[in-house]
Amino acid sequence: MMESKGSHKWTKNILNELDINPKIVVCAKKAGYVSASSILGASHNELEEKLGLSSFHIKNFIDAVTSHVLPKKTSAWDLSQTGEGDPKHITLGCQNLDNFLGGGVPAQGITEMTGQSGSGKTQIALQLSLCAQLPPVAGGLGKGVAYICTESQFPTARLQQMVKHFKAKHSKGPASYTDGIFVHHIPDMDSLVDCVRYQLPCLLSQRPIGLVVLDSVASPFRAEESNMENKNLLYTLGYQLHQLAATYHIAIVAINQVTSVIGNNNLYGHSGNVVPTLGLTWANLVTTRLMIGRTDSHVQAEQTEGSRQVKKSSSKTIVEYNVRELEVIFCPWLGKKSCPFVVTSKGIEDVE
Amino acid sequence: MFGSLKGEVVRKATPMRIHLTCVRDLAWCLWRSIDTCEAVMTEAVGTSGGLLSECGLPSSQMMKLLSADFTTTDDVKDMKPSELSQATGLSLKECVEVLRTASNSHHPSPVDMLQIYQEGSELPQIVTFCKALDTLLGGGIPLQAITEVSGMPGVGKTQVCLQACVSVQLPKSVGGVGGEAVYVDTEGSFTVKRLKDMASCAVHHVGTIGGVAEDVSGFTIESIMKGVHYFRCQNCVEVLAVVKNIPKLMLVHPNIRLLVLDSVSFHFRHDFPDARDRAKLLRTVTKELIQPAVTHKMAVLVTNHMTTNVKEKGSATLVPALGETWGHCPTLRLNLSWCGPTRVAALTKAPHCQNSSAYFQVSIGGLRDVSDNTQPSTAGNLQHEPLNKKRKIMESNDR
Repeated sequence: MMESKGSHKWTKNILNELDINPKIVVCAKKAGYVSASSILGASHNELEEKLGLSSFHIKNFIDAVTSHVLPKKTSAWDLSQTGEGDPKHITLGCQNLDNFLGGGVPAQGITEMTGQSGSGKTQIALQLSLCAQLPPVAGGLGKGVAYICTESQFPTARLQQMVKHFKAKHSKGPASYTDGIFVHHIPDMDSLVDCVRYQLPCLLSQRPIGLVVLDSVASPFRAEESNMENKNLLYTLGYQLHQLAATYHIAIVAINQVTSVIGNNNLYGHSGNVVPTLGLTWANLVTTRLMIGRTDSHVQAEQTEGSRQVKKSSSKTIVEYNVRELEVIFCPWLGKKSCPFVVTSKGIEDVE
Repeated sequence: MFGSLKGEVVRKATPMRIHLTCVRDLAWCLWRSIDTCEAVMTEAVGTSGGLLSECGLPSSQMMKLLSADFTTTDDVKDMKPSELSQATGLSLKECVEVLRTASNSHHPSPVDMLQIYQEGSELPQIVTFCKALDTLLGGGIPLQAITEVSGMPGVGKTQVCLQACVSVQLPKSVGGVGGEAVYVDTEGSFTVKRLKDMASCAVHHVGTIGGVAEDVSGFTIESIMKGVHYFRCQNCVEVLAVVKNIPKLMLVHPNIRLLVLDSVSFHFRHDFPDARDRAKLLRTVTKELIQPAVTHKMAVLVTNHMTTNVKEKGSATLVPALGETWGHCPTLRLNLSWCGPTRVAALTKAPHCQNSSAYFQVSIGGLRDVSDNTQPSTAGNLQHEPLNKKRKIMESNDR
């Protein structure tokens, strides 16, 4: 469906949609130049020769095809007035983090969250899945989430725990947060690409979905050897995700892993001893790259006993939380900086 | 052409021959009065369109064309190859050749080197607001050339493009180009907010320099934003359509001086169903990009991804994507990378100076010099010096 809309738009027969002399249409059909890609890809002389028409007619033909295919022209000023050109965000529910990121996690193109295992990537993804369902006035998208799991089972218990606290904190959200999250379990590479190519567009056209989470994009591809074919498949995955984001106006969050690097590896301007996996093929497709990691510092806070009201002043337990760090590696509109946060039973929280 | 005399004259003398003949000989030949022949001669000299005989066609073809009454390019201009073939007896392929030659026969006369040099050095360049980078480029991003900016993701390629979109609009009275920009976005990394920040810094900067009041007062954030025409292209055919549409766009906005393509590789690295189609489309895009640069005196700025080139021994280097099909197209190739926490721009292909590099940084206002003014040692001397009028912009660059 979307596949036929998207990639075939420029390979299908467009002759009947053009407003030109029918003589040209007949000649073009006979010579086999029916799709936009073949007509625009050929030189003026080649078309003259193959179609046997005069230069004047060929020029009209090319002009008609060009105007048919041309994307909408706008200016930076128009974009700024309509708000279309502003980068969109999904709030994280934490004021410090939101301010740091300029409104929330960027929802333009593909946003990658990478980091060591246990650093908090899935936690942030779960938080985002809830926040995305908040109405736009509260910083969300007001739509559902498609969550694609490639590693382990979807953490349903953890999500339930977070939903309880989330509902208490945010009053404007939907009645049931779990109803708005569509989970897919896809362990291997080929099925993943097929899902993005065929099943996702189906889902997107049927339900209101605003966010697609890929947790994680690394594991299906790391298990395979890194040859040209798999690299092409990875590129196809990223490219299709971009097309979906642009066509259906959705946000894409992809979770990646890291690998240690020997020596001083400074390719991305981030000097550290770990580097995101999947190499340059994937990095070139990513719009925003965020790195999440544990730091050495801890912060203490009181942990209240669930959501039950404790009437008498019982001794509260002190819990130590490891401070995590969210760093912007690259983003077209954000500078490089980092911000701390913690992971609690309620989800992601700012460090006070 | 000659009115009532046409039939007779054509039979006896082609315009070429009329040019070479003097009036008296013509009168003798045609048995007409001197006055009439003078009129004929004036008309022949003023014939619009070039002579077919001067197009360089083989004589056998010329003979057939002349005997069928086709003498100037105007006569064949709107004909179809099949019609021409029927009229003259030439083969279809030869007719296409004739038509092509006829339409191309408006060759500009050769220009001598001095004229080109003078014209070239008078052309302003698009400054980057980073003195080191401008010196590296020989004054700034050049007009009438294709400049490629390659680099790892996140190093600042889109920032260079946005800066150029603002800088191209600098008023002429402060040494800028004073033109508009077209931004072709394939990846969706164009941010209006960044452009606005860069624009406001540029406006503030120009306000401190001075210059002709009418010129400078028109340089506002609003005018800069309106001067950036934006196209979001979802596939390579749309990119091709935008580039082919430039001449038409120039009729509405004749002041466009910069075409930005960000990036050329995004759509072309996707798995095409047929690899030959991809190579062909890429060659067409390459050719089409040269057109606006040369014909309309535009600067074409193209960003490119990096890819790994694995050599036989197993060692891998990072090279700009799209290989040699694309590689020969840009005039200037700039590669951005990281050296520690600093960004470095290295020139890897330049006709005007040896390969060297420069440090720069990306700030809120756009590209700027690195504050401690140390630069990587250059391999040799830069032979091109920026013109004096460009110094005006650089002098007040105190950021």
